[in-house]
Amino acid sequence: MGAYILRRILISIPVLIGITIIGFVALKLSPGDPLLASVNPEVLANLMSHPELLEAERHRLGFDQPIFPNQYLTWVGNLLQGDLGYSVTSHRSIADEIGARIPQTLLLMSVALTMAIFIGIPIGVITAVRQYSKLDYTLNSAAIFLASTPVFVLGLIAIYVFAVHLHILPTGQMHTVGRNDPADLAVHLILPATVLAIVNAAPLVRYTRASMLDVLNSEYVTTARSKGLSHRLVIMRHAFRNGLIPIITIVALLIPEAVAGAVITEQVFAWNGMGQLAVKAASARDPSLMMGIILITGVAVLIANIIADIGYAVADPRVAYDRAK
Amino acid sequence: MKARFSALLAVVTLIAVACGGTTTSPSASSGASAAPPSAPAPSTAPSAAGPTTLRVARISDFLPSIHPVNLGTGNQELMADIVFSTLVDVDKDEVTILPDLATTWDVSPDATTYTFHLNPAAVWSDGKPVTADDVEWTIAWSAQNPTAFKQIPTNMWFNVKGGKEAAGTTTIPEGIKKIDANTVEITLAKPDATFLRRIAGAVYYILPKHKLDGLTAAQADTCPFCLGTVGETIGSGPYDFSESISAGGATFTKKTGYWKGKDSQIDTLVYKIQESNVSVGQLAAGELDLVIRVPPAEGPGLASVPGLKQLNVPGVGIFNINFNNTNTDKALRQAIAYAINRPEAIEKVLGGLATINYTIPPGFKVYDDINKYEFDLAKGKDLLAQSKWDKSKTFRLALLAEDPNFTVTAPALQQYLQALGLKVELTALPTAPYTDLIQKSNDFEAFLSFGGSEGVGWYQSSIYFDCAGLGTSQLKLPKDQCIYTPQFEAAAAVTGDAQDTILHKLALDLNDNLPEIYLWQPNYLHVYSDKLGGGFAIYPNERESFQKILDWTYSQ
Amino acid sequence: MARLPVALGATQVIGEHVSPRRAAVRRFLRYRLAIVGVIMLAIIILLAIFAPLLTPWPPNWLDFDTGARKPPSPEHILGTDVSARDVWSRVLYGARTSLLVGFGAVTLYLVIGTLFGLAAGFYGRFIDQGIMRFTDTIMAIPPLLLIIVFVALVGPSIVSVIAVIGLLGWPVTARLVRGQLLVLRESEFITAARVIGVPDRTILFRHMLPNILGPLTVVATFGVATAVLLESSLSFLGLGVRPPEASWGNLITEAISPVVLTQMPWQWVPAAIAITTTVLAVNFIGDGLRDAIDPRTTKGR
Repeated sequence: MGAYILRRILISIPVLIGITIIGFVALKLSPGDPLLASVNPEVLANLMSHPELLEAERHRLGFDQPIFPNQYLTWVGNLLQGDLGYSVTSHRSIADEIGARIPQTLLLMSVALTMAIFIGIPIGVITAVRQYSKLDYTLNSAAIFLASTPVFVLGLIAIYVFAVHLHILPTGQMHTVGRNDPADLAVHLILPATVLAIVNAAPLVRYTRASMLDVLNSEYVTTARSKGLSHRLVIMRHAFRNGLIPIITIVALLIPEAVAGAVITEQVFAWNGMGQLAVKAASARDPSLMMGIILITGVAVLIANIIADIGYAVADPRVAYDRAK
Repeated sequence: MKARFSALLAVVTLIAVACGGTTTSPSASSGASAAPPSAPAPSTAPSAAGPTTLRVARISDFLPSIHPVNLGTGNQELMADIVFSTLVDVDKDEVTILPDLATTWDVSPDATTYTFHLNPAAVWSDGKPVTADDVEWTIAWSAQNPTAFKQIPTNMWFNVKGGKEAAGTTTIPEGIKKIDANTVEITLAKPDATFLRRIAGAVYYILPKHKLDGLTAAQADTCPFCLGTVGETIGSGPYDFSESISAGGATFTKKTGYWKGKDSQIDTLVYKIQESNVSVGQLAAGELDLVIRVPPAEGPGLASVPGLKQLNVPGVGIFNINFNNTNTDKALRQAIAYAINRPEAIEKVLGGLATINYTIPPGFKVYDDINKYEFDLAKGKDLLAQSKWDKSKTFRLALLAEDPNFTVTAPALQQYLQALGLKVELTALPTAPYTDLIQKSNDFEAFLSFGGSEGVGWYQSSIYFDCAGLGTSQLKLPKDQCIYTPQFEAAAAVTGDAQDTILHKLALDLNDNLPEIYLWQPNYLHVYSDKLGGGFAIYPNERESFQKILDWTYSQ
Repeated sequence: MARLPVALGATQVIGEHVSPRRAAVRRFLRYRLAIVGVIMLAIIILLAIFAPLLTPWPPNWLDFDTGARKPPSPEHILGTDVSARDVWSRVLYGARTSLLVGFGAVTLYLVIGTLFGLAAGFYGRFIDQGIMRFTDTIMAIPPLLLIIVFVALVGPSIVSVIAVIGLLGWPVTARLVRGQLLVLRESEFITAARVIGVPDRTILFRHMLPNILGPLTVVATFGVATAVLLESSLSFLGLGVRPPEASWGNLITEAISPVVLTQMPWQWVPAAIAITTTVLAVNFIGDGLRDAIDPRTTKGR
């Protein structure tokens, strides 16, 4: 097992380097002069009258050195010291900017993913157990339908129904203006977390159903049944456990999708997280901010995958043995 | 439950009073998120003695940060209004000069030397007095470090005698003279009768030397003072930061025993910078008391919400067409001006929520002999035929993709110009390349522009037509060909008649040459709670609105 | 690597063992849905192609006589938008944009993914390792994030949206092709071909590629659905096809304004229905194709 874990981590190193290269490419591809990322006419007027000042600023930020390897190596060196640079739009350090947003996104995603698991897996199991029943078709169609609707449309409809029409939930943001308490936060979390949960539950239903069907139709379940074990016991003790093992991996694989969903959900509900920051960074073409977000989400997803793989190997030791070969 | 809540409220209120009102009021917003818009604030228990919280939002995509030495946008200026003071303020008529740090001032007859007598009672948040040293430091630092101003520049400080020469040095410009601890004399390099009005803008506030001495231009991006931090960013205005600035805004608490002899009647001010859809929802839910610049189209939807008032006024920002003067000629520009049916576009596309402009900057008088370029397609076609424009060529018009002011109206302009006989191609660009293109505008014949503050007064136009500062439309013109120096002469003219003669000539010149076509000023819609009263007003140029916050009242 | 072949749309190819009779019933049902999907998609494609015949209004024409934000009327069957343009016409022309992005991006990444997958699976060793680590890297970063960043960098337009989705979407295809190839490489007929001296290129393109076309078609179908959704998300985030160009995402995005969301549903609901219908149709087709192609469910044939 130890060797497997070590091997799994070693394999990730080239990927990690790859992620830094993609981040660096994003940083360097910025075509617009990042110093000019504002269209305020008065601002322009000032900048145009001081071209030499722009040059000085460019030099200060190191934009005038050879890109590879000088700038890349300097940049990686800074990264290793935790220096991700500064946002050209807000003038704050990237670490601060992103650090301030991570808790909100983690909150939204963890609540939504938990909800998705609690909605998606039971429905997946039920539809597999009662395959071809009316319930199966209804739930399955609902899952396909929800997976076919853009997240933001679901979000807008949810706002329309629950906030604008029924007035039972707020339209967006994390807090009522002037309030800071957890109860208020919880009320504001309901809509975005539910929308994000539904979006992630839809594929989970289909995965779980397929995985459970695989197990239910396998020989040892048939054997268990033929030994006269009750239907319920077979499902709970044998099928469920074995069917869920691959789902560990699937939940991990859902994370990149969940991040994508979170980007849009945060935008719809004005949720002050990483996703909103990413969109702002992209619209303003804030190079270091875009790079920082790519880097941090990439590394987070990488770690989640390693943990999932190890978890999978722990749950099913055959995996580690097979792969170590 | 209700009784317990009231008891809790009473305790909180007591604490708040004891601590000098530093606690955010729970009464102002409790349960507001769940309240239906038909009853916006039933749960906001009226408690006359309780602390008041004003909840304000400004809708803008501009930078959500404060940057006291490198101020950029209206967002920051509204916040700066209440934390800092300027030498003088301006009244909501945008003309009358009011005292702020300076109680009185003397102006030399030639409008070159200004002497300010500071209020000896004025103090910073930490109790240290505001003196002539602070004024001198602020002006000298601005002049010495123009690189710090990547946003709205403090041009007027550069115009102090010796100001331009001080750039990059540590010399104090010779135009600043401390007479005594409370008296400063400022001499300008050139006469300027508009000086007082212009330094009343929120950009020109005075900063504490003892907090910032030794600051370099590079540090101006990142110093804690510069980022709007509780306890670090201190000023001489009526409020202090009580929650540091973040992407969503900031919170401010009033000072007690404020040096102007009167405390603000609003204890806490929550300031949000957010997108319009969120603000409109929160207005409807009673979560906000004031939203500046709501999209005018949202007005009717909010009209049914009780307790809200709307102020729908022509904005100071202008929607205009800028030309690349190397690609276009005067006859073509005039043809375009005739081809655009401004009344129709305003009525049919903008729902009537804009004011027509007659091609000259709106801060100018509409003189009788100004050509209004009223819609006349035949005349436009004649002029197009006279112009050097090759009709088989594509007329490339660029617009900013993110702003509805551009995306909603650009198709209308395209249609009018196609009727004129131009092959118009629209290119919508995001902000960064848009700014780039203004530098390399040979790729386009024209681009749309929105904003500016020319609507405030003719003197604000100088930044757009001033050859040294450059107007965007003047980009390709060498400095010696600049035709708009009259602006300086007008500023220098002390009497109204002399100014008017110069401005009249300038208006006619702009009107004929059309370096840019001023189309219309879209309305600004400000929505506010009827609880706001007293001297509450939103200025035409809303940047300065919060300067008079001491006179506002807020009844709960 | 413990990875399952997951498409951007997170659709999983997992076989299901069922009794032949039930499988037949199910396949029939599935195919019926797939047929419904084909019909729906065909209608949408026809509407897009014949858009000019189906509306008198050009998509960017402002009808000043009617004015902006007017509700449906006989002249404008779906009303007018914020700039006084005909919504029905914009929905029709928007279909062109959405379908172009969907099919364009997928075609691009199928070609790239297949080439990389073939190279990795056929040559193995260092090439394989290199390509697989490259796909790991791209797949580690959430696709939407990567796409918004690169679309913002190259400047949003139809071409750049297609290019970015295409250039970032290929790893899934590459992995699939490689996986299939590794199985095929060991198969008897390939071994036989090798033994008799058939050249590599012929084995690769004449014998191996045709055998993986089935699974590729399935991936491509789901890819189209994902790309159509992605285009709308990008437009919603302000990073997609630029206005005034009509696209379904741009039309729905008008609903960000509370007044449009609540009081002017004609401006955004039709485009929302159009997207959902298209993606649903493509998903039905994909499901049907997958079941028809999956060797484990077609064993009996």
